[in-house]
Amino acid sequence: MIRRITPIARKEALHIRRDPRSLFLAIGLPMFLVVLFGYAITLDITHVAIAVVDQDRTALSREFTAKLGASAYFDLKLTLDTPAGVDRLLDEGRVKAVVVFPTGFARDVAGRRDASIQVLLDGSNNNTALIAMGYISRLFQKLATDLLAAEAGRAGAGSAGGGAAIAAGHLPSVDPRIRVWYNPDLNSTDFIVPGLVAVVMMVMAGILTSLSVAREWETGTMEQLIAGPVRAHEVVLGKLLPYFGLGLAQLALVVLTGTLVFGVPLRGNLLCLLVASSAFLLCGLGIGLLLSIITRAQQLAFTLAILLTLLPAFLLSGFMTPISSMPRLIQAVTYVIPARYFIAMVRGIFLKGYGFADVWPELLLLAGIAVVVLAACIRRLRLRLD
Amino acid sequence: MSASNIVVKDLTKTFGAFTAVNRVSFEVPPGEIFGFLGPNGAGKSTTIRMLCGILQPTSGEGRVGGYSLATESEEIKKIIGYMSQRFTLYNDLTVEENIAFHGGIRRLAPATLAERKRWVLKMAGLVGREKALTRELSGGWKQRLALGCAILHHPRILFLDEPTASVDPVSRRDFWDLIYELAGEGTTTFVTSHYMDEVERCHRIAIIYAGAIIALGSPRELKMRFAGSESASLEQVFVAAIKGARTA
Repeated sequence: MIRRITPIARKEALHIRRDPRSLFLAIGLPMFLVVLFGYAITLDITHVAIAVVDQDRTALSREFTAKLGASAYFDLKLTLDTPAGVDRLLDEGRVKAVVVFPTGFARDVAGRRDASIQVLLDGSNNNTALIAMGYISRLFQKLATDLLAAEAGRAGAGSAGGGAAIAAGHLPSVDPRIRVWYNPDLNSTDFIVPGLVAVVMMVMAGILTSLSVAREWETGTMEQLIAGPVRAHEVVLGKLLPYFGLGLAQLALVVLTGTLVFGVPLRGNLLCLLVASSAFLLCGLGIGLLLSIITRAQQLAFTLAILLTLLPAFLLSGFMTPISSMPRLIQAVTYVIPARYFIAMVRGIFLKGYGFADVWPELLLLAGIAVVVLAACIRRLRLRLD
Repeated sequence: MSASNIVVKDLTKTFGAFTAVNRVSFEVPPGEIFGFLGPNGAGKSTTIRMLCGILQPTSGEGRVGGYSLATESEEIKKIIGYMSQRFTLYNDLTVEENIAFHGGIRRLAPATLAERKRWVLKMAGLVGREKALTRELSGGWKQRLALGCAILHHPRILFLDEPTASVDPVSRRDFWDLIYELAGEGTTTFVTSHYMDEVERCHRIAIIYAGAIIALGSPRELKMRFAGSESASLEQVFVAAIKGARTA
């Protein structure tokens, strides 16, 4: 009963190899997504071009400027003495942010008066602006705290903590309501890349398989296939096998680029990652195939696959936006999205060092979904024309 | 009950309110070439699909090679070969990949498959074109390759649905020579067609019209019965039979 799976799997692999559309979805699109998400977000959080206007021209303003320039998150493009021409810099997009130290800045700090700096941001990309603003405000809070702690230490009066707390009212600071709300560790690549495993797999698994059985009905080859002594499970498993292999290759691709190119830490159990990915892959493959089996029409199966596998994996899985910030009704929907469980597992395995002991409930759930969906495929695949 | 005959009684298939095949009964003894003749839409393909176990009969019963159409379609599929009217090999696979796939489904041993592959390539005139994509072949070659794939496993009973529909006249003659050759080796052959001339050499013919068999017998018998002369053409038989069915 196993032996008929091999010829079916082999010819399915040939279909994939000879079909440019399949090759693009299997290899081209995942590469594109990895580069897009990996690099685009890396660019957002580091090397933000900034300029400094130092009207104060004191040791303190120069020290702060140097700290800004030394940060990996900013590229200090130039330092000016006057604000003239600053608007042009922002207009032309040469810098995304300008930090202005006004005259008297150092004096105010030394005199324990409210010292202020001005931050001009290019808000045309609100995300970059918010993130840059967050970095700048954190940086200055830290500088101010260090400064006060050092002063308190020099004065030797009581504890440094007490001194800092008393002086907190005199911190040079920007609006405290502004927060870096998305990636407090400034490492969004670490957050995105593990989730990308799920998205990349779903693109291939859900969509390619949604075409495979429907295509055979449409071209008529199904009639020849079912006239042979094949069984439903042989057809289902034979068809899934090459896509399963492809999915594992994609896993390797994302994990390798993620760790080697983007420096995402992989702290957890590799075998656990493989098993979790396999379970998730089988869910996606099964859903795509089931759509193909039920609709028998490529166009319809393809559309449904996008709606039911790809979009949920993108939008409802917690890949980009946290599930907890979604409306309650949508949150309820996410419980039936396999990607939700998988992304939680993958992030845990990558970043928190999870192993089987930590992810087994989600893993069992995914495996359960996979078994149910595959059983449905085998049951629903009619080996008759009517 | 033989292992390579076909017995059908009151076989019926309806699609909603439409009766595609209406209480058809016939027997095909082992080794016979049985021609199933009728205009398009008469129920030829529906009948052949029921006999191949890929369409469930609405009522009536039938046995192919001793196995029940209703309950043993899996067994039937093992002993038959089927070539559908539509070309149903994989166009994006090469000639030899298609052969290997069908051999694999039939679980032929590697040595047997190699030997059968050589035979099919020779039969289909495709020696030297093993690596050609099937979609690049012309109609006649495709048809021969499809036939080759249908008989890779030496089926006891062969079903051919309009095997020459998309083939030029010269290839058609060659194709029929091949069918007679196979039948000579003992394969029971059930073949549908709407070309009168090419079923001339069948052992027996059934004429199906609007889902029902309106004439059944050897070409000679039918000519005598419907045209009153052995020298009549099957064309005349066909027209007379249909006229008779319409007035009945």
